[in-house]
Amino acid sequence: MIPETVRQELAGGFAGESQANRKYLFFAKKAEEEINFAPSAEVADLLKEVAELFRETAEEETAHAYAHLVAMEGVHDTLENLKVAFDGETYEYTTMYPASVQAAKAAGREDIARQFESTSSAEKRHAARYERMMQRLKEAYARAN
Amino acid sequence: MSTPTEPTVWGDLDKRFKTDTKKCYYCGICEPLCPAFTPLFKLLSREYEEQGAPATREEFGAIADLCYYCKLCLPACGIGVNFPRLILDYKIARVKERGQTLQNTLLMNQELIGKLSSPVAPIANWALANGLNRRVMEFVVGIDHRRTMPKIAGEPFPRWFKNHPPKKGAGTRKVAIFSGCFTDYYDPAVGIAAVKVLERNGVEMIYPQQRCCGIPMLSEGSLDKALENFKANISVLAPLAKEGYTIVALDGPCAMTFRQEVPQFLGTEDARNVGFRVRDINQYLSEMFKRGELDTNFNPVEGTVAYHASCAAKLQRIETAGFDLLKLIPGLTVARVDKGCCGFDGTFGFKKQTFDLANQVGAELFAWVKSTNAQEAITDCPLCKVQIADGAHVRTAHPVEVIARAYGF
Repeated sequence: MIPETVRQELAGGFAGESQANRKYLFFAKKAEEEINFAPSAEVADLLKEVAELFRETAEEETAHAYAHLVAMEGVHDTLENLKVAFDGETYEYTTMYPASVQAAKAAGREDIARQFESTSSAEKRHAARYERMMQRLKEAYARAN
Repeated sequence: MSTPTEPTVWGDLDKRFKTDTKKCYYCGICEPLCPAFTPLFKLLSREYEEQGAPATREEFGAIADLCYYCKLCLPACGIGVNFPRLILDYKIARVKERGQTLQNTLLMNQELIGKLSSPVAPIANWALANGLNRRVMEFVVGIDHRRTMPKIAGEPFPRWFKNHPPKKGAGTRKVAIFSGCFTDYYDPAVGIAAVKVLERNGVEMIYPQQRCCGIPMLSEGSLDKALENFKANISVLAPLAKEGYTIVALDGPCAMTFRQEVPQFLGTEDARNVGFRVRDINQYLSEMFKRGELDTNFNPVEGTVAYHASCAAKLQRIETAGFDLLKLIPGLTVARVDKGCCGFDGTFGFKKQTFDLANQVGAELFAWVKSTNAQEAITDCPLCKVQIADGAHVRTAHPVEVIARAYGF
C-alpha cells in the first residue's frame, strides 16, 4: 500500500510531468512554426535546435510521469485500464464539459463554448470506442478459456 | 503476378487520408474552425460508429472542396496533422488526373484577366455589374451573381509606378515592391498609398518584374502553374535579396506565400533567402516604428475603424502589425477583433456552390463590424476587403491607405 501522503505527492508529480510534456511539445511546435518566418538563416537554424531541445526534454518528462503513475499504482491490467479510460471519457462528456459549456456561455465566450462542445463530442466518440474494444477483448478472453 | 498498381498521381494519399482524418475524428478540436470538419466527421462516423464502409476517394473529394486553405487549423493542431497540406495534395492529384475545372481556371487567373481587361476597363466593369451578364457568368462558369465583382483598374499599379517614379531616398533603406496581382489590376490605390508612405519615410523603391505570387493556382491544386510563377519570381527577387533589398509585399497573402509556400515547394537556397527578406508592408512599417525610424507626424483623423487581420497575417504572426500602426494616428479609435476567417478565401467566396457557406463563415465577423459602428473596416487582405464590404455593408481600406491619409496624401 502507498501511504496517502506519498500517493498525493506522486499524483502531483504525475500531473506536473504530464503537463510539462505537453507544454514542451507545443513549445517545440511553436519554434518550428517560427522557422517559416525567421529573419535569417542563423535564427532559423537556432529555432530548429530549440525545437529539438523541447522535444527531447518532453520525452524525458514522459518517462518521469510514467514512473510516478506506476508507483501510485495507476496502471492496471488492460481490461481494467479500458474501464478506467471509458469512465474518464464518460465523465468528461456527461458531466465535466456540459458545465464548461455553460460557464463559457454565461461569460459570453461563445467561441470557447464551441470549443468545449467539439471536445465533448470527441470524448463521446472516445468512450464509445473504448467500450467496443472492452467488449471485444472480454469476448476474446472468454473464447480462450 | 503482382496486382496492377494505382496510377502514381495518388501515391499514398488514400492511406494518408484515412490515418490523418481518423486522428481528426477522434480529436474534434477544429470542428468550429471551418465548414469541412462537421461533414467529414459525419462521413467518417459511417465506418467508426456504424462499422459501415470506409469513405471513398470521391467522398473525401467533396470534403476537400470545403477546405479553402486558410490554414488556421494548422497552428491549432496538437496531434501533428497537416490537414491543409493533405487537402492540397488531394487537389493536386485530382488536377493531375483530370485537369483543372473551367471555374477554377478562370478564378485563379485574375492577373491575366486584369491585364487583358484594364485597357477596356469601363466596358469590362459595366459587363461585371450587368445583371443579365452575371446570370450568364453564373451559369457558364459558376461565379455567384450576388458577389460584387472587384472593379478593374483603368491604370494598373505597375503603369502608375512607371509614370510616377518615386524620389531617390537616402539609400539606407532599399525596398523592392511586390504589389500582388489584386493591387496591380483591381485595387491600385493600395499600391499608390504604400509608395507615398514609404517615400515619405525616405525609403528607396524599385518595382521589379513580377508575376502573381502563385497562391491562387496552388490552393486550387494547379501545382505546375504555381511552380512556374514561384520560379519566375524567385529568379528576379533572389539577386535583389542578395543585394540587400527588402521585398515588401503589399498583400498579406502574397507575403505569406513567399515566406511559407515558396521555400517549401521549391526547396532551394534562393527561395529560402527571398523568404527571409520578404516583409508584409504592415510588418515593415511597424518594424521601422520600433526602430524609431517611422515618421509619426500624423494629422488627427476623427472616427472609428474596425480592424480585422487576415488569416495570412495570423499565420505570419503579424496580426497586430496593422492595428499597432493605426493606433499611432491621433483621434482615431481602432476596434480590433479576432473572429477567425472572413470566409472569402481566394475563390471560395466567388463560387456559386460555396457563396452562401462563405457568408456563413464570415457572419460573426460581419456582425461584429456592424456592432462597432465603424465608418470603415481595415484589413491587410484584398479579398477580406471585398467580403467585409459585401457582408457588413461598410467601406473598406488597407491600413496603409489610412496611414497615407493621415500623412495628408
